[in-house]
Amino acid sequence: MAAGMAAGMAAIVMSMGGCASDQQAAFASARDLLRPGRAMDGVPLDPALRYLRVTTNGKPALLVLGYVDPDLHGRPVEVWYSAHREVVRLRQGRLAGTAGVPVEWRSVTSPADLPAWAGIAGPHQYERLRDEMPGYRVGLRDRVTVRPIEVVRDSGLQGVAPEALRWFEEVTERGQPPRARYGVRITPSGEVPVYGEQCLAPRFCMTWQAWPPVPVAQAS
Amino acid sequence: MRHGGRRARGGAIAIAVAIAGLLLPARGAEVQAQARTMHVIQVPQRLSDWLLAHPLPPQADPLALGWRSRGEVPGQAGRQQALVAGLKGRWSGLAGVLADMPATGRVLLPHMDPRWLQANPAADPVLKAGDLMDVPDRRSDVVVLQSTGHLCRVPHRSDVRVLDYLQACGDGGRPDTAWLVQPDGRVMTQGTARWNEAPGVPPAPGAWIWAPTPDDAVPHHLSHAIAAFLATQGPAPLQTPWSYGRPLGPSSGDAGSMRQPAPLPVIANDWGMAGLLQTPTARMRPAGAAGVTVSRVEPYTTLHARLQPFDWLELAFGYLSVSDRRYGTQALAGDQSYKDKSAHIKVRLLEESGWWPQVALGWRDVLGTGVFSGEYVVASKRWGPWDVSAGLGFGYVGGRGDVRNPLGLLSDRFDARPAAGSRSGGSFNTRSYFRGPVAFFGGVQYQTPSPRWVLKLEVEGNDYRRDFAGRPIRQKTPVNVGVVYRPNDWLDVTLGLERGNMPMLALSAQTQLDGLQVPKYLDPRPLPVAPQPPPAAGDPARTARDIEAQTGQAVRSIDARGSAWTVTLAEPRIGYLRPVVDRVAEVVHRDAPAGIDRIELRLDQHGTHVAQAAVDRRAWVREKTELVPPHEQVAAVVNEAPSPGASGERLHERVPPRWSVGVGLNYRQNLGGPDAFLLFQLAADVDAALRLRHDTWLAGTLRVGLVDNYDKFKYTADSQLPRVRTYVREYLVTSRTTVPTLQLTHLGSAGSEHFYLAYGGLLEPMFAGVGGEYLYRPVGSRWAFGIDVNAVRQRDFDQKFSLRDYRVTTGHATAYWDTGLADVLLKLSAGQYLAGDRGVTVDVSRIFDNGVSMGAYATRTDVSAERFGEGSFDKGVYVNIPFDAMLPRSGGSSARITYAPLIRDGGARLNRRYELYELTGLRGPRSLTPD
Repeated sequence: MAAGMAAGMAAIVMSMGGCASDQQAAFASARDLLRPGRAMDGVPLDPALRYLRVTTNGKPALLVLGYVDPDLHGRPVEVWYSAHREVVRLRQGRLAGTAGVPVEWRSVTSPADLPAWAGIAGPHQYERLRDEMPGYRVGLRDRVTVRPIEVVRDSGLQGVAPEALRWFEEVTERGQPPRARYGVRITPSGEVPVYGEQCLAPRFCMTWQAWPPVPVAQAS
Repeated sequence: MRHGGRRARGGAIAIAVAIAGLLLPARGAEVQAQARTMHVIQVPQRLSDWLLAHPLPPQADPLALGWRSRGEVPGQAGRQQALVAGLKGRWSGLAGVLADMPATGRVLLPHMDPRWLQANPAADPVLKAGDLMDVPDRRSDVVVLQSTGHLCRVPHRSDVRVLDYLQACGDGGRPDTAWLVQPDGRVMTQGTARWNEAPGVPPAPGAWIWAPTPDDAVPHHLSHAIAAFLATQGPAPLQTPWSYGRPLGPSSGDAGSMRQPAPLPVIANDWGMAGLLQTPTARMRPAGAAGVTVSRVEPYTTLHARLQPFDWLELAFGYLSVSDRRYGTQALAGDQSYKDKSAHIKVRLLEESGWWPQVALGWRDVLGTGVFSGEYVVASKRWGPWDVSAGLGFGYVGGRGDVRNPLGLLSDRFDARPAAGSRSGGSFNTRSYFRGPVAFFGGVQYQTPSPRWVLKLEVEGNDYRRDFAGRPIRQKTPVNVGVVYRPNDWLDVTLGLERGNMPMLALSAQTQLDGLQVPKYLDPRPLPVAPQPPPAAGDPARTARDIEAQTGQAVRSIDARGSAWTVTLAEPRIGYLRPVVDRVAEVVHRDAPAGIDRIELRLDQHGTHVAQAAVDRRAWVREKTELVPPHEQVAAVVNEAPSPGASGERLHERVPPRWSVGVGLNYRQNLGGPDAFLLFQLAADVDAALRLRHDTWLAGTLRVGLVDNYDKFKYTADSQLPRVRTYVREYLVTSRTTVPTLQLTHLGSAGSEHFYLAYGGLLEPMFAGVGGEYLYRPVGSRWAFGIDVNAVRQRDFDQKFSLRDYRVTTGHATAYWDTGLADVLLKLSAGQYLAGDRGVTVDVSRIFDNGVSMGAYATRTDVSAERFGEGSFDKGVYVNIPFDAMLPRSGGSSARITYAPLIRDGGARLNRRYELYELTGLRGPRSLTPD
């Protein structure tokens, strides 16, 4: 544009194709952005099913228990399903596998003599084997140290007082994957893993919690 | 909750250790026995069931599990023969080795987790009697296939790259590209030379690598075929011929510690184009890239948007502000600084290869009047983290004028560059291109070991003594330096020192628009698809209700005709069609009896059958309930001409409501005017429609301005033409409440390929009148042709119901050609425009697979550049993004961003609310993509 021709004006028009009523999808998405998980919170729960509240990068979803399969050592592995047909496996409240999510842990094995939560009074080390996809990182060996920690107040735990749980953390020798934390309800009649969190990759973190939250009095 | 006990091992004979061998690791390591087990399937069953019934032994490799379908063998054998024939001659040894490998029938599988497969039946194949399940042990090596046909084994290490395996087997030659075939059959290509290396995944144990050196001269298509064939083999066989590669040394045991080469960072320069600081490079981003750059180096501030519609074409457009120069007189523009619109183009001439640099030709400020205009040819060559560029600049880019223009050897007229500036600007100043003295420029970019930091150094070719600044610019040195911080993959922050004395700061954000996609987690949950149809028909009213709930579309009718059910959607607002077809088919399959083998989804616009998708129910159900091997795959959904009106039984009918009302937002902005750089308005739109007949309706919009800064809007541009658009200020500021459109419309068709539209009323914010349009558009055709004619009169500025005196007849004949070449859609229109001028508009756009399009248009009419005024001719660029590509809920809207550098009266077209090409968009050849 030439000097002194200061008259021209550009138009940048941002328009929606179709008519105003077509913008429902945009409004619904904006609502979800402002209040993620609102739709999930309103879902009535079927008392015949067991639920797990899982967040991935802060976005919540409800999973339903589908199976309890034995692992190589005969320990039970819970197989949870999301509405989008993803699979999360938990063993003793720890992540034992994911499928259909952006970062998959496959063939996760841990030693048969891994102590129960109630038996962990101090640092305990074990080796975890796993494959990680989609990076074709196979045969990964994590040297994991599990130890009890103080009550965690900055977790994603919902509807349960953190003091009602005993807390543990797991760190790996290399720092990858990052630290995992667990909240376990330990009573004289046994132990129930209630909450767990684990980053599977620097930008992919999950939390999981038995759902709905059980009040302390009811749980004990 | 179900408890999954181990099932009886029925239905398969485990031929244990059908194939066994020995692997002898290099340098005398201990002998290790390895095996693979083939299971012959006896009874048809799901893969998930088979996996649950056959827990893998601890030594098995779940990644390498293979389903070998008997039916796939003939096809694979045919491709193998063609491959071997193609290799015979120069690569006979390789051909022989490949010929000796079996055609296995292996089918690529998305997952091997039985519980995941159960929840995703479309990925869970049905194994047939006679098929094989290959259960290999996890290997401890990676095999490199060499062009001699030799198999070189290298012990696997989790922390090394493909290149390390190649070097362990190689004789010093370095290939440019490697094909990595993972044990699960997935093929990946990786650049392995210093000029194209990039981060890649490591080979898993049992992987194949095929990487011919440039001396091997194996054509790429044959390399692709070799890799595809290796993918059918599973882990490499243990039999000879083989050799051992050099050992790779001790492993860290951590795949995360793998030494990854840095990717080539392509970062915007001060002008918004890929480059260093002031200078361009020959680099390009991948097609589909878009970004925005803001830079500041006294006295210039730039704001540029850039688009990369093709791998070989980069565009940028925006503004340059000169802070020490006034926009105009005090009365006109106050203290606003001078603004210069600018547009830049760069075309790749040669793609980089092992020996050759990448070469590009570029134009800076291509549509300007010459103040900042310049041209260049530049070459870039990469060596690992170093990327060196050198070029020759003309005009502003080579203002220093180091040497005589080499083109002067051809003609003396290249030695002098015509003086900058034309009265109107905005046109291609072809008379000055590549003229005048030239200067060399160039520099280097270095990717530091930290991926977040990049260093830049350059020598620019500009001569700032002749710059268009208010005060003289002193250049201490032509050497500029910069450091780029890249906190994430979408943002670059550049800090530099230019001219030896002036700091520079630039922010650049980018994304790949062609990669936009979002899971639709806000959509209703899809209905499960049963393998078998129901024994009896369901309630059609429920069918219609559920289709509406699933798709958000209105069901006009459901008809049964012979063995087909036809669902008609009224006035569909659809982004991606294929998911809607699936949702409709899910509901119909649930409710339609077994005798129905065809589901038709008819899309009506106001009673006119516009498009139709036909579903082969059997094929579709199979596609949804099992993984179909390639040799049995058929097209389950096709786009076809709508069938004639229903002559069968009407199962359900719902007359659409006569009224419909919706509320939305509208945002528009005007940039670069003398009153303020940004003038904007956010408004609320209320759309209402009244259906008078099935094919005739009255529709309008009431707009209420919510927020704006139009109080600053004072300037009205002059014009030598009828003022059909340059009264934009008056239209925007006169009334806060307006009626942009209110028109009566009739839509009809003659036959299945001819459509017409008749309308009258307030057609757009500035014009009212009557008009009509005709369109010829065969279904699925790449061609369409249309004509529109309109008699219109200018509306009053308040955009209500009164009119001004200006009248005109305007209309165009338009040819549409979806070329099928590089996803390009071409629209060519000729006719009379609003100002009475006559001419042609060309609109070219690239439409990506996810529906995002990038386009540009230009209009030349019989109005001279002088009469047209600033800009010389009408033009603009636009980006269209379907909401389906970026929102978690399906919808028919799209966001369109149009940048028209100038609002002038010449070449102005009527903005019709309805256009037949859009109304019939679902007839196009792309309607079922993405799927």
